Amino acid sequence: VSTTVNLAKQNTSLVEFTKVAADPSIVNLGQGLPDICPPSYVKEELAKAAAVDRLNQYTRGFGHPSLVKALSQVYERVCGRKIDPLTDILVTVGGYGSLFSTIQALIEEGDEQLLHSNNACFVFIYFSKKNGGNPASSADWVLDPAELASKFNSKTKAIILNTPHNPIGKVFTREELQVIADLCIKHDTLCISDEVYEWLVYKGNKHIKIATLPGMWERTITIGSAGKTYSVTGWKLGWSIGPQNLIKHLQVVHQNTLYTCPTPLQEALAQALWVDYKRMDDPDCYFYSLPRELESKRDRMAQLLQEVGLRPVVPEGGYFMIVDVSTLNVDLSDVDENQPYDYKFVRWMISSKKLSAIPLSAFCGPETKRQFEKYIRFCFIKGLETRNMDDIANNWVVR
Amino acid sequence: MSRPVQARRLEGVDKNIWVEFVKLAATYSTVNLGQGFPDFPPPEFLKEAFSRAVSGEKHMLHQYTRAFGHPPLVKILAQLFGKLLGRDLDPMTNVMVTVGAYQALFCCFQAFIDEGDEVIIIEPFFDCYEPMVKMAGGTPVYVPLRPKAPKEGKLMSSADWQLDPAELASKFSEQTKAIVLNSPNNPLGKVFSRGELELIADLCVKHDALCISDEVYEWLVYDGKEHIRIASLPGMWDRTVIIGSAGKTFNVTGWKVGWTVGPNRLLQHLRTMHQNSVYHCATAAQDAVAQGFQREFEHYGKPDSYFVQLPRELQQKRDQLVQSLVAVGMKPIIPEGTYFLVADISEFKSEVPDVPNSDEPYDSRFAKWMVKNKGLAAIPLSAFYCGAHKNNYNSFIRFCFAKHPLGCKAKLWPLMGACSWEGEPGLLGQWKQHWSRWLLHHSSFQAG
Repeated sequence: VSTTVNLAKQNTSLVEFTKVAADPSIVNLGQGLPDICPPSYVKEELAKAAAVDRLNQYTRGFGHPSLVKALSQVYERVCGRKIDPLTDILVTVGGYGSLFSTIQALIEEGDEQLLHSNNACFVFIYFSKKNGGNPASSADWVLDPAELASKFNSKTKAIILNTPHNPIGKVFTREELQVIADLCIKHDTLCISDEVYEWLVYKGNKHIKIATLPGMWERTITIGSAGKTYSVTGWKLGWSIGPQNLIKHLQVVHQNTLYTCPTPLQEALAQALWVDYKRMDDPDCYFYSLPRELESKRDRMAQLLQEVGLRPVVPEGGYFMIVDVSTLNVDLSDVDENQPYDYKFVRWMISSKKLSAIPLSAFCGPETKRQFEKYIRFCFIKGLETRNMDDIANNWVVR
Repeated sequence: MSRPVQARRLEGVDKNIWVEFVKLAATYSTVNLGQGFPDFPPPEFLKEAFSRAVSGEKHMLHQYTRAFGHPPLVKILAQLFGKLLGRDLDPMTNVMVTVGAYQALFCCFQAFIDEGDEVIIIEPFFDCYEPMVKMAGGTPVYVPLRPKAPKEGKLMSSADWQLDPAELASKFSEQTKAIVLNSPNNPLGKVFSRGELELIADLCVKHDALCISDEVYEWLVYDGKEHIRIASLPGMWDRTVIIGSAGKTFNVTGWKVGWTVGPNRLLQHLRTMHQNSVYHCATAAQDAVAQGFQREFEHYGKPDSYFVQLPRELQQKRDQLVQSLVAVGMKPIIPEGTYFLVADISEFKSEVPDVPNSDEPYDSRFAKWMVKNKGLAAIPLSAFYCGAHKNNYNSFIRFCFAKHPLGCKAKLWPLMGACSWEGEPGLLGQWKQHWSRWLLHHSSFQAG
């Protein structure tokens, strides 16, 4: 087997927990997939597209023409700059596919990359809690500027930024982005900015694209996702946007990995984007109505979790919430010592409380797993009808 | 940036024939017989299945499904291929769904090939094998199919292009990790015989090599020929990954649903690659393809099976194209399978300008001239050879005949003026004008 596969084997946590939670008797608040309906016009556009014969055949490899055109219009408006649909955009199989294409295109052996990796050596920087103590909001999780600066050196090829952040839900402020931008410019580093949750920001917060900061467009790849934008994770469509001299390399990877993405989905997405592009000044635009809907789900979930004695960290954005479970003091010392506490807690919670979540240390590198092992991650883009919520609460009370 | 921004693995894999020729076709062609996709619709039962998946009650079909393949799809694939291979297949471990057969190929090369590994590729080959092997750090080793003269008075067949057994054996070495087999073969249309497959199988077993078997055109075989799966030969199941495609099976190339079938000891590594590159494939199309296969499983071998009807329809189109090519002075090589046909243009009189000192192969210059001046798109055969061998077979072009049933003769009218015609110029002129108006009105969407 190739060395590529050996290195890749480390990423199995999500696969494992997804399997366990597939049991229908368990309330699955783990995996990040919506169980709310996508908007009806999105589904209708897909049905319409599939009825056109030629839209069931291959389209342009780097992105269906009507889709890249629609994306360029939406993002020109957001970024305030011209974006060429043919050279500055690549359509990929989900945000995941964009990340893969970007890293394959730009990172190699010997390069250092902050936060994440396959083949290069990875350098982690982790959040610390502002002023110590117990964070109540994702805003309380910060990067220490001096520590961040110390991680950059001449071998640093890129930093991966994720805002709004999965799993913490942090929305990086302009000042925080400026610290990162200054370091990227100083060290001639690329920025891979995963912004799949870009529309999901809650009151009092604003999503800022690091690519719009001075000196950043030419060194940033910004990643977006139809799955997160329209609650259609099963469409697996995403995109990378950036300057031609970077995107062209992603296009080379793409033409050698999958060549083209499905046509009817791209056409439908293009039509849906036009619907919302035309009402970007209107509060009914799905880009704004979805976060409004999710904010109330966020608040209900935070309240419920507090009621059962857990300590949620309320997110500023995204559809995940991390929760401090140490407050319950569940004794799991008789279970396998080598597992981080949060893994054990989640397994215990699945079997005794019929509720699943994802352990936070699944999102950490080996050196930091122990620091985050008292947190688990919940997803709240869920139906969460009153009956479900009552069930969850009742399960906790009956110990 | 002072150092190159791109990774070294992209060296030598940036050129792509399709990007170039698809653009040319989109810009100039009125008749596109180039890129391999059908211009007639998928079967109704499949369109209906997709419509149900998208608009029906199950709105969770718009969300992630199982990463390694939507359960209904892997189950029916395991059933069908289990029956075809005569073995019990586990849908969870012996089948994995991919974003088209293209991504299945990518996963195979990434999973099994390392620096220093050699991969044998039979020429002419579907062009992506070469850059994919290189991107994985491997070394491609080429072995050509060589044309034998056909019987007196007969047209050449793809069966006349054969491997030399001694030459093939000489390509296997200590470093050989795998051989890529593509049967039915794109571009030639060759359907490897049992004897030819046994030759390859013996060498794989002897050298402990893997076989990556690209069988996307498995249902498109003509003249009563049989598609034989190399994995069913002795000693081969355990070392073979079979690759298939819904796009080619059901005429839905735009859905990008493919799969791999093989032993768990190999598929486990494909799963690892998959979960680190795309993770999931789109759900709704998988659901529809599952329903399509369910229907075909129930109709298997019956006259109304799509797997019976589609090759019958395509065989007629093949025969029409053969006649038309002969009529304009090209020499078609009759394909035993796929929807491609290669024609010898060495004796075709054309107005392709001579370009002294050009190392662009003749057929490539011909194809470009033809699309720009005659609006007819086809692909030069040299595109399917490695750099060093491009000029060995440079007087052939590949046509795709999975095209609208308006008669291939009409599709070739742009070429009529290029050859010496002994008809009546006046009538020909009128006929050409009539067809040109008709064709422009009916010309299909050009993917670009």
